[in-house]
Amino acid sequence: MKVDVIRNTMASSSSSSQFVRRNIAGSGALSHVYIQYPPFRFNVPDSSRMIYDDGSRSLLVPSGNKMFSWPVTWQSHSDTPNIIILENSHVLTARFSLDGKILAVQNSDYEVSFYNRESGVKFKHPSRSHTERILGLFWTDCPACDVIFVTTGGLELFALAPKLDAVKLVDVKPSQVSWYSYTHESRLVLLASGMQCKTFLCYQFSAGGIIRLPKFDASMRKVDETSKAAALTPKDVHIATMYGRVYCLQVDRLAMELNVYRFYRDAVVPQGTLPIYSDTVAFSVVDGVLLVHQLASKVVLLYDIFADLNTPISAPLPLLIRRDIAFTAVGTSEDSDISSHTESKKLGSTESNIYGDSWNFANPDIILDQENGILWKIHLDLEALAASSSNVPSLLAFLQRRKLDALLAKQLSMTVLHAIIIERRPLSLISEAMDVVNKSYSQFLRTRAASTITRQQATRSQVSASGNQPAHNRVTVEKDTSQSSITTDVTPEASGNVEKSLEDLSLSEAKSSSSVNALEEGQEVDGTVEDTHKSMTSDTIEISKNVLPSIAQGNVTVSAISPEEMHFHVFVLINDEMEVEASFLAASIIQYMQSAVTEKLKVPAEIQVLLIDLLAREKRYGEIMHFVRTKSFLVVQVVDPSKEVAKQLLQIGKSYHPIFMLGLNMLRQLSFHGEYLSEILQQGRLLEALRYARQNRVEAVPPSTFLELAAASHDRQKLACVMRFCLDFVPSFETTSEYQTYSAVLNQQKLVLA
Amino acid sequence: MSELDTSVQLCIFDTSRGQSDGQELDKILFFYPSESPFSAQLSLIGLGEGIITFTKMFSPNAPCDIIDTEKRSHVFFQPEPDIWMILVIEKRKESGELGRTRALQAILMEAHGLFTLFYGSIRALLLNSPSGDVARSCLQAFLPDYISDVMTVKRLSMLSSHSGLQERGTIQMMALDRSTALEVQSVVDLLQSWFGSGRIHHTLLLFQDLLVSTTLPPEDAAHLYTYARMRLIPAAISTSSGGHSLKKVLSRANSSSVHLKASASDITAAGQRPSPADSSNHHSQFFTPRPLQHDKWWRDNDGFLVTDAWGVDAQGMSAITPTVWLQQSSQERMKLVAYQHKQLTVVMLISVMHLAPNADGSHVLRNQVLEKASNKLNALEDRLSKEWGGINANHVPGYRYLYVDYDSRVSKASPAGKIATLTKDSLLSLDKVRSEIDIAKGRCDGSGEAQPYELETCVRTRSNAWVVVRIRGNHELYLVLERASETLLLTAEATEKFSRRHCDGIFASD
Repeated sequence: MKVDVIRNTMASSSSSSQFVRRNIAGSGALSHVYIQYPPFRFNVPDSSRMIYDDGSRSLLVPSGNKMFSWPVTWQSHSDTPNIIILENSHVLTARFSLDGKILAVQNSDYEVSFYNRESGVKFKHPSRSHTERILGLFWTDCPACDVIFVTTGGLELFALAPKLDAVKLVDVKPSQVSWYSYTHESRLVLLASGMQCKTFLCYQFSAGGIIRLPKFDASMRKVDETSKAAALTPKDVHIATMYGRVYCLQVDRLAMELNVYRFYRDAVVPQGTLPIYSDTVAFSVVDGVLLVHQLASKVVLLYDIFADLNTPISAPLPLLIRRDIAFTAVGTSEDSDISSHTESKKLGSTESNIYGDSWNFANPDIILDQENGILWKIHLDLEALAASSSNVPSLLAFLQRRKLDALLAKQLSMTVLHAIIIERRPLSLISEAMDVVNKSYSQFLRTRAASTITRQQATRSQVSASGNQPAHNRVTVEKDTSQSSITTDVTPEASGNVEKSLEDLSLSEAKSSSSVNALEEGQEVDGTVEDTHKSMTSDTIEISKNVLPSIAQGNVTVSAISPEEMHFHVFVLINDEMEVEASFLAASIIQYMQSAVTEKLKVPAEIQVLLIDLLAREKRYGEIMHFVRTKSFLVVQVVDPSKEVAKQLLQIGKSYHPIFMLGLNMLRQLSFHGEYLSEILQQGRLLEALRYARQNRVEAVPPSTFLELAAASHDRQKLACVMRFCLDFVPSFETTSEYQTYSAVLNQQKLVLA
Repeated sequence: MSELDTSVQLCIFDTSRGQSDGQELDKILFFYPSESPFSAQLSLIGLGEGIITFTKMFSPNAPCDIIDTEKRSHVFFQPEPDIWMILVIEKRKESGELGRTRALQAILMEAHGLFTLFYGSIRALLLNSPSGDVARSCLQAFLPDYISDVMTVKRLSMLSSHSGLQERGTIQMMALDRSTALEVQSVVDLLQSWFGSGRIHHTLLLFQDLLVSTTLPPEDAAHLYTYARMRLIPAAISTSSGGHSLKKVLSRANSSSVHLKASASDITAAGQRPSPADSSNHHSQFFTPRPLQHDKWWRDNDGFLVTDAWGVDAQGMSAITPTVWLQQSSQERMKLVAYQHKQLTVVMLISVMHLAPNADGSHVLRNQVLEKASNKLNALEDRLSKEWGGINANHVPGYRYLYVDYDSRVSKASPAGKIATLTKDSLLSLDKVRSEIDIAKGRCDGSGEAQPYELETCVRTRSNAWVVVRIRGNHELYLVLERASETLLLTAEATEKFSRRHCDGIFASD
């Protein structure tokens, strides 16, 4: 995350002219996914293994009777670790409570120890019975309990005692469990049971409460009647959270397939299967993109659930370690142990270790190299992805969905748009691309609007939305109890740093955007089913607002491209470069405007001025006149009337009079009296100007302007007219010096004539 | 033998030709009815030329508009330098007044405009073929059809006083909201882009008889629009031969034998006018397209419109794609391809210059349109037909109006059915007012003043209706208000209101 921030600041500090000038070829690397050097590396003697706790986002390393822990924020890795002295050096697993105060360590199959970091209080909790082994534990922000043990006999829900010195059993959810899988991101625990461990029972322990999802069986294709499928192992099942939706990925080793399920509140729906090309696969999710690591062939395939699930969005390419000098220099300080010379030498060995046996994949995008004591974070190489994709609309849609590296995604999107126009790609393609961009922007606007409405309103509208759900969806939007949950949520998360809430916000934006969808398109199955998540999403919005009010107000970089940005970073650039003929750019702009208007976006006047300018350059005056016709009568109104447009028309009108008139009428229609008057005065339409000034009560133009013009015309009658007008309508005109001057002029002219 | 009908006569002559005695006949380029004896033709032209020469002494730029006699009116129009058209109309007792001179001249103007659209200017024809045969045969192929069209629809319909709230040669546009307008534009751009740059040069989109969009400059657009309304729109294409496709066209073409074949090859081979050497042939041997021939356009099964008015190709396999000359934009010759879906007619112009010699780009175009564009066009038709406000869409209750914008050659008027409710008296008064204004405008044009012409008139008719005229430069507004009780003040107010609401306030009197 540190890296992202640095890049963002670098990009935004670069001049705006460079804004779009991102080279799509980018790093030129032969990979779409990379791990950024330097990794997070620790130096603990006698450490046997690393534990990544996704709840508190920290790395735990037991060593002897000590537990070293680092928060993994990608920012503070030079920090000295927190050390907790353990009573029992045998550690099966360990997790911090969500507020980071209490460390729970599973010492054996039957015992868990708790260490309060602040008060130093320690206590143990033995298993209830010796017949049920403890398989693991996790902390939860669910209001009913604080920590949950997974045992072979089911789930045991515990609450902390008020003094944080003991845990009390609250509830038991009995079921037979062979093994389990849990991710904090999804708040979902998956319990496997049965002979082949293919029957899954899932609970979600979210701030909104406990949800029991229906049991489902993993589908295992029978490849051969005689061969019996091996039992599923925890490695075969992965809970993935993508774009705020929760999925289950299940590997069918015999069929070499990956089955994808999506969790709904009351259903688990298969989403299809993906082929896998390696005996062992591992999964990561980066910014909503599913990475399937084909461990045997050492390549990674990328899938985007919003795109076609059947085809990966990229060719299989290896994972790359990226060493970027600039980032290294900024990213790590001198005193950091990582940047030391000896450390970088070591990289040779770790590099060859990519997809080595010692690699553990932690949710969602963390890799633990157990052997070398290294923690990597996986990044998407958007530039490389953009460079390798040939399908422009889907590439743009993909880029527009990026939340993590939104600024880069935005720049890349604009580069792509720029490129397709410059390259004169088919207009239909440009039209599709524009649609993608505008849809994304209008969705962003709706999301922003939705996140600013009050909670109550949101709740109410959700209720009404649930009322509108067609019955066949079978999904009922349950009113979440988030009201009460805010407090429980705020406590742990508010202590998180800025980075975290930033991410939370972006995450929650993704979710709330989909919930907005749900409100608007009630019939769409996708939209209706966000509930599994709704409970937690809305809370995070609240938190972010408290922590970072400015961000909540929309200063977050998003990948959506506003019409203004479109104008300055795409159209104007292309226009300046003069590489593509005016007519093609004009046609592209029309496509853009068309899709913008369909999405009910406002097209800024600058774009329209540019359009008119482009048409005028090719002398297509007739079309301009059709486009500009204002309001109700002879309408083919493509261009909105505005002052800028009117000025442009006046300019063009110098070479084609009817357009000049059009501009003049527009000024008048928009009541820009001053501008209108000065234009008709320039044409010498003095008396008309007077009438107009009187009719519309224009006082900005002083009488002297009229008088000067009248005197200059050497038309005695005209001057007399203006004098009369001023006498009648300008208060106390007789007392002004102008009166003296011009009555003298008038008399003089009379004399001359006489 | 019945006596020659001379109730309508039209002649076109070139004052620069036949200067020497005995060659006067060379002046005549066209005479209708063609059966008229040469003596009658010569006497008409002699009279016309004399009057023109005489009036030129007083007004060199605009010599003569009309000779009004007890029995006949001679309307003069000079479409090109030295070329004159004279329309002679017999007055009939029952029909009373003939109508405005300008309205009659507008017919001649339209005829000439359409002629140049299909054949190029008369002068150019004469230059290419100094003997004048080509020009004569072209005029002969075109004008009788035109006259029969204009004169017979409703016995000189254009001469009736209803024309006071109509303006010949202008375009009626369909009112669209912004997003539809953008969609239309986007489809047009897409359509043009699909065939590479320079293939489709211009398009003209009509919904029923209303123009939706065009990329043509106003004058060319007006001509093509007029033609499309006469022959291409759904209401105008041949319905009697509904199932007809090219086959029938061809069989008919083949049966008409050598004449067609020879002439067709003439047209294809040239692209330009036949060389002067050919012109020594008798003119009947040329095949001259007859664009206005009735019932010559069919809608093919694939939605394209076909015609054999331009003949068939040398092999007799397919009809020749019509060509038009654009005057205002490029002076270029374009192939005209039209596609129709329900009420939507799309006229596409392909530059001949950009086509390989002898290649007929229309086939490629047809396939591409069907492949890529037909869905979009069909969707567009849907949307337009939803948006179409019906035949009375332009009706403004209480007003009978005509609004003309001569800059872009666009007009908008009360629907004909509503105009018909006006009393004869109101219409006659309007006509008179318009005639006066035409004369005033004519004087103003002559004076060469730079300032835009402005005018406001409010006339109360015998039957207590109000005729209001407002002119601002090239924008003109004519209103007839038949509310007897209204005072001048109320009428002025009603006019202001109309101008504000429907004309963006450009006719405001301030």
